[in-house]
Order: sequence, then C-alpha cells, then structure tokens
Amino acid sequence: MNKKSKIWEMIKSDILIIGGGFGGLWAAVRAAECGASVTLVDKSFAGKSGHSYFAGGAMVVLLPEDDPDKALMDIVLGNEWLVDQDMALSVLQGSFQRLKDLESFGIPFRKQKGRYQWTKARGTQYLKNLWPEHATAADEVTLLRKIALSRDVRIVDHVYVYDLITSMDGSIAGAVGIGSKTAKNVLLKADSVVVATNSGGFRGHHLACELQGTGPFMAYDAGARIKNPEFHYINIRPAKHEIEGSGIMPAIGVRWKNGLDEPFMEKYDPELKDRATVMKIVVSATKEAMKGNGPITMDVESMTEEQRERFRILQVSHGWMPILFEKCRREEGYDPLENNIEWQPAYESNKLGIWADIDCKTHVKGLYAAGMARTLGVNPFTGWSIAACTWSGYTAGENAALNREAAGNRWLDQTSLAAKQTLFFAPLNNKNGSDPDNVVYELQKILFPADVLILMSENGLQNALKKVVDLRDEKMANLSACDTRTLIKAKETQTMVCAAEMTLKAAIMRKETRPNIFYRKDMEHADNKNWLKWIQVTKGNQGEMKFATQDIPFDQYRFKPNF
Amino acid sequence: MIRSIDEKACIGCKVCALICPGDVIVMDKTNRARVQYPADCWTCFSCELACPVKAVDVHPFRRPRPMAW
Ligand SMILES: Cc1cc2nc3c(=O)[nH]c(=O)nc-3n(C[C@H](O)[C@H](O)[C@H](O)COP(=O)(O)OP(=O)(O)OC[C@H]3O[C@@H](n4cnc5c(N)ncnc54)[C@H](O)[C@@H]3O)c2cc1C
Ligand code: SF4
Ligand code: SF4
Repeated sequence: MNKKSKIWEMIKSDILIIGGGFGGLWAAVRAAECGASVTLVDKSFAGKSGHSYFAGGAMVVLLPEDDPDKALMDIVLGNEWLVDQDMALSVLQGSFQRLKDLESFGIPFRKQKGRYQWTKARGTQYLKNLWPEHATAADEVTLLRKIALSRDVRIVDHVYVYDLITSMDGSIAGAVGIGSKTAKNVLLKADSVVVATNSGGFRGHHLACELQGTGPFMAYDAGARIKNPEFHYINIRPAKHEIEGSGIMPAIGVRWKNGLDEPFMEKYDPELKDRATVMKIVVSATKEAMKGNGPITMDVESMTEEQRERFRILQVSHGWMPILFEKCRREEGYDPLENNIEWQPAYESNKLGIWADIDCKTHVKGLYAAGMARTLGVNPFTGWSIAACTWSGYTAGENAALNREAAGNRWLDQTSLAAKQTLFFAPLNNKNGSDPDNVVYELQKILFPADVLILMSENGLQNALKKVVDLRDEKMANLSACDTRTLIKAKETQTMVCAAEMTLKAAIMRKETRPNIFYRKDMEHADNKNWLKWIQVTKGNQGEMKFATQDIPFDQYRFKPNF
Repeated sequence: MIRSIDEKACIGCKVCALICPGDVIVMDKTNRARVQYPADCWTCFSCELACPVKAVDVHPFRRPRPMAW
C-alpha cells in the first residue's frame, strides 16, 4: 500500500520532461543535443502511450519550394483568425528541417521520382500533408525514444507525475510522482521542466482518448495561464469500435448518409460536402440525428472495390485495423468495409492548453510547455497536430536547455511539497467515498449528450455547468482510493471535473459561432466586433477560476482581418 | 476490449505488460501475463500485435459509454 512517505527516490537533472509523445520526445532529443542532462518521465511506456503512438502519421510540411504565405493563410482561415500567427509560421518554417531530421534518423518520407508525395490537408486549399514511407507515427515515436536514449536521456517509464514543485521564489524546481507499478515516491528535481502530457479529455470513445493529460492543470496550479478553454475536439467514429478513416474515406469519395439514405452533407456544406471540416460534419450529423434522421453511417456499401483497396493501402499505418476487420467478419458477422454501421460523435480531446510564448516558455519561471499541453491552434487539420507538437517539443527543449539557470541553490518549498503530497494521498483515507470511475461516468453523462458540447446553447451549457458544479461540490473532496491505481484515477478525475467546469464557463462566455471551430446553435454567426479575442484563465488567490479576454495582436501579425 | 491471454502459450516475455497504455495486464507470480483490469482497456490491440506467440486476444468492441444521442 502506498502511503504518504518520507522515503523518496530522487532523480536530478538539468531538464525534466513530463510526457513521452511527439512533444516530450522531441524536447528530450533537442535538450540533450544542446548539452543538458535530461530526464523524461512517462506514466506509461514513453513512446508507446498517448495519442502520438496511435496517430495516422500525416504531418504538415512546408517544402522549400512552397509559399509560406499561402500555407499560413490556410491556417489562419481554418482557425477563423483565432490563431497565434507567429507560432503557426514558426511551425511551418521548421517543418522541413524536422522531416529531414526524421529521415536522418531512419524514417524516409514518401517520394516519387525524387519528389515528395503529398496530399492536401482536409478543409484547406494549400496545406500539404506528407507521409512516412512504410512507417507510421508509432514507428516515429519508437525511433525518437531510441534517439533520446542514444543521447543519454534518462527515460523513466511508469511514473505518474501528480504535481510540479516550486522553489521559495515561486520558480519551478521539478515535479513529484509515484511509480504506477511500484508505488514508489519519486522526487524529480530539475532546473527547468517541460510539460508535454497532452491536454485532457473525458475518456470519450475515440481511440487513445482514455488518456488524461493532467499537465495543463499542474501548470495552472503553479501559476501558468490556460488558453483556449472554450474549444474542444469532437470527432466521429463507429459507435461500437474504432476505425481510423473519417478523413480518408471521404477523401477517396465515400459519403456520409443519414437513415433516409440521403447524403446529407450537401445540404450543410454545398462546397466541400463530405470533405468538410470535422466540426461541420459532427454538427451536421448531430442535427440530422436530432431531427430523427439517424442512424448516421459512412456509406461503405456503395464503395467500389478499387476504393476499398485504396483505403486498405492508405490504412496500412494502423497495424490493428486488419485484425479488427477480420474479427468483425468472423465473430460479429459484418465487414466494416462492406456493411454500413452506425457512427457517433466521439469526444477526442480538450483544446485548452498552457499559454506559452514563441520559445514555449510559460509565465512561470523555469516552466515550458510542449505538445498539445501547450495551445497550438484550435482547428485539428490533418497533420497539423504532429507538426505543431514536433515544433513545440523541439523549441521547448532547446530553450529550456540553453536558458537554464541552476536551481541548485534555490530552496525547495518544503511546505508546499508536503501539502501537495497530502492532497494527492487524501483519497486513501476515504474508505467509503466515491469511486473515481463512477464520477467519470457521471461526468460523461453530463457532457456527452448532443445539446451540451456539440449543439451548444446558453441553456444547454448552463444546465450542464450546474450539474458539474454539483458533482464537484458533492464528490471531489470525497473521492476514494484503495491503491496506487485508483489514487492516480482520483487525481485524473479531479482534473476532468475542473476541465469540464472551465470549458463550460468559457463556452458560455464566447457568444458567437465560428463554423469550423466553435458552434453555438443559439448564435449562429461570428461576432468579429467583440470576439476576435482569446479567453485565458488564471487561478485566483482563493482557488477561483479567473477568466479574461485577450486581444489578438493583429498589428504584429502577417495577416490582418479586414472586417 | 481485451478478452483473454492464453496462459499456456505465454512465454513470460513481459512485453504486453510493459507497453499496455492502460496498465491492464500484470505478470503473475509464475511470470505469466494476466488480464487484471479489463475495464481500463483502450482496445488499442498493442498487446495482441506485440505478443511473440499470439497468446493475446482483443475483441474489437470498446467499453460502452454515454453517447451523444
Ligand atoms: C487516433 C488518433 C489519430 C491521430 N492522427 C493524427 C495524424 O495523422 N496527424 C496528426 O497531425 N495528428 C494526429 N492526431 C493528433 C496527434 O496524434 C496528437 O495531437 C499528438 O500526437 C499529441 O502529442 P503530445 O506529445 O502532445 O501528447 P501524447 O502523444 O498524448 O503524449 C503524452 C504523454 O504524456 C504521458 N502523460 C500524461 N500525463 C502524464 C502524467 N501526469 N505523468 C507522466 N506522464 C504523463 C502519456 O502517457 C503520454 O505518453 C491523432 C490523434 C489520435 C488520438
Ligand atoms: S488492447 Fe491496449 S489497453 Fe487493452 S490490454 Fe491490450 S495493450 Fe492494454
Ligand atoms: S507478450 Fe505474450 S508471451 Fe509476452 S508476456 Fe505477454 S502474453 Fe506472454
């Protein structure tokens, strides 16, 4: 049994990186290259957990002959002006060099007659997706782990970080964790910390979305700002199992259909139709279902054999798909590529993240943010996330290493460390309290219905907020745990409830619709006069969430809206 | 969701327990892999794909949870 204990396993390094996906692994590789001693810690097995390992592998790249302005404009319009243009440009400018790095590590990208092959990113006019040749995102992160190890990065797997630790001056001095298999207390001291845990979600039914990255909330507790809390990423997936292909199938000509056999996307997006952005498809499918026109299907029955073959080739990246298809055929009596099945919205992840500058530095001294734990834009274009996580990891690792200030003689805030430990272990004392899994289920019942976060309105959001606040007040102080595993779940549940409250409050604030990224059915138009703004949250002295809007610095940006 | 691990076939290489992102699998005292927390399974097939002796069986269906409608 793990109890609050004074026996620590202590690990000291210049830089600590929390999370081993694209963000964390690139940060580790780069920080080590810049001469720092680096520890990377992951609650699972770094490079085989998180979203990165399960991603398709498409990556946005600006090739040397490409026009950066056209690519940037796609990103600006796709994010309906609410994107940090300096960050987006920096992602584009570094992307070709990172592709070259991956090639030098041993992951070639698809070429034909010496030229890189690419596909257009969904919902864009110009942005290019490049694909690794005979390899997947999983191969990339597996390789990045090897490269990190070869550069003497110390990788500590199966340690769950539950909080950041600070010095007496408020600067970051490391983190505290617990061995998820060993129950060991682990004190990770460092001059600088890179949070790369991904953002969170509510354990929706999308592949890998059980992942609950608690990093942004650890940073928030330590004084960092949260940005973009009103946005979330809801995708669409078969109701009972996974198929990666909601983007690829329409790209090869497969159509969405409702229960009346109508290809309904024509009505909602006459121009892009089935290739519309994820948000438009999810909102349109939901509207159809709410009218009683369900179930929603991807019309694979009308696919030609040639289309099926193309899909199979494009989907080689997912090693599990052939097994899944085979078992559905053998045991469930249908073939997901030949028989229409029901699809449903699937919550993928929050878009809230830690605010950080162009160097991926946060407002807190010694704290950096990378990957989806840092805000990287709201529109999840195919390939954008990997490109932006790669950029932010590389940038955070480099800046953390080059600007490190020895924390050696900074005094650790022992009182705060003890308080954090007490708080984390508290659920062990609540023998008859609430089971974290049950609380998460209650939360899902509040958040997942269509009229809460998909077809948003003041009413729906306020009702859900009231229920979340009740859940918080009734259950949060009373979570129960009996072992390390449930202790970790209790911490993750607290984060989820906090994220839900923040998301709902911020979504109530943003009184408008931006069709590709934010849909309010009670306010169907963009309000450019009042809402060309970002929302940020800081933690107040009494622990309250303090919301504020921030003007977007268009005067410093390449593109300025003319409305 | 993970369905079973064939105890007799398992050669105790530990790979599945090491890489399972949901920490679903544990090694028992006789060094055989055991499905300990099936409800936490991500249905990611990583264990089935990695097992050198094909001892692991994952069913395609995921744990049900509340849906949009
Ligand atoms: C199924 C799927 C397919 C996708 N396909 C694509 C695609 O083709 N192209 C694209 O660009 N994007 C794609 N994406 C999105 C993209 O994969 C992710 O946004 C990106 O990989 C996130 O990287 P990350 O480093 O921020 O986080 P992750 O890869 O999620 O890594 C976070 C790591 O942090 C660890 N961690 C979390 N909390 C803690 C803690 N408290 N203590 C210690 N460790 C912790 C986790 O175990 C994990 O290993 C896809 C996403 C999914 C889910
Ligand atoms: S399918 Fe994935 S989550 Fe489930 S037991 Fe296997 S490795 Fe673990
Ligand atoms: S991967 Fe297969 S052989 Fe190895 S421990 Fe797991 S079940 Fe046993």
